[in-house]
Amino acid sequence: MKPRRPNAFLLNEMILIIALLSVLMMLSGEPVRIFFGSVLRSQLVFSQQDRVETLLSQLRTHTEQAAAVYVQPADERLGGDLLYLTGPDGTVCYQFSAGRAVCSRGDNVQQWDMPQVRFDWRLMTLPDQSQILAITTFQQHRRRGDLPAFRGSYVFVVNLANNHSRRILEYD
Amino acid sequence: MTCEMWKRLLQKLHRMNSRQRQHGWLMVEMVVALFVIFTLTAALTTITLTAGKGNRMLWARRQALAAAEAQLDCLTQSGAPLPEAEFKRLWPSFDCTIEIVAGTGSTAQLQRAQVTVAGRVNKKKICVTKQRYIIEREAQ
Repeated sequence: MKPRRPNAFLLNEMILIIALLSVLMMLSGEPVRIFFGSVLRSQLVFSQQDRVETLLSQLRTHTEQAAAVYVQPADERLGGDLLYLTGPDGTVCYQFSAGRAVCSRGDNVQQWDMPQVRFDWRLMTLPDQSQILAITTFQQHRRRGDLPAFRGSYVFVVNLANNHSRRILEYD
Repeated sequence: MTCEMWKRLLQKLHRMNSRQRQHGWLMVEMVVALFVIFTLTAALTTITLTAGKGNRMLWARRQALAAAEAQLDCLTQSGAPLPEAEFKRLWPSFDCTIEIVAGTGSTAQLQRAQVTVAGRVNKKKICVTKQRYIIEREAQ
């Protein structure tokens, strides 16, 4: 007569399963953490980078069209130095602080909130008196500390739009 | 519904439950299920990490393009590239070489500026080349 199979796990089966589970959890804990951490961080990075790109695209247009540029030093408490760009449509003022950038033209104020983004910018004069605006953005997110911040640098040349030789012929 | 009918229904349910309790997983099924879950997790993580590496390469390439564009803009406007120290401060992982040659044929009045930005990201080499025809500074 065929012996009847027990309905539940035997003790040794349970012990084996528990041991196996603990080993697998130990092995897959880190990958699971990496996976979910990467997904959440990527979403945050991309949404903020999108705002940075919009801001920089507008800043590039204003800088390249500007006939005159000047910087008004301001207290860090008030959001850092003010960058004035005078172009064909009037004067635009930019102010960059940690987590925020503001562009104002008269009463029209545009604001970009990017909590993890920090800006480092400087206006420089080249030997022939041309001016360039060098701006670096840093996106910092909490991680194990083994990765540097998401960093991007850009240079915009003042009054480039009025240069006749600009992009006569360009190809990659 | 009469009392008898309720009793029969309850007995039927009890029988069904008793039968269901007999259908458990075998140990071999549990082991296979655990290994499948583990394999899927490992594969998902590998894909995520690979995608992350790909994104970092793309970002590095965009930075190299921004650097090349900046050099060409500076050459166009001032006739000189960005100061070396400033370039290194802005794009520390890249090196830049600039070649300016006289145009030929229909572009004889112009100069062809070629900027090559190269660097290494994740042990892979990134190289971006951009060219632009510019008017000679003396002619302006």
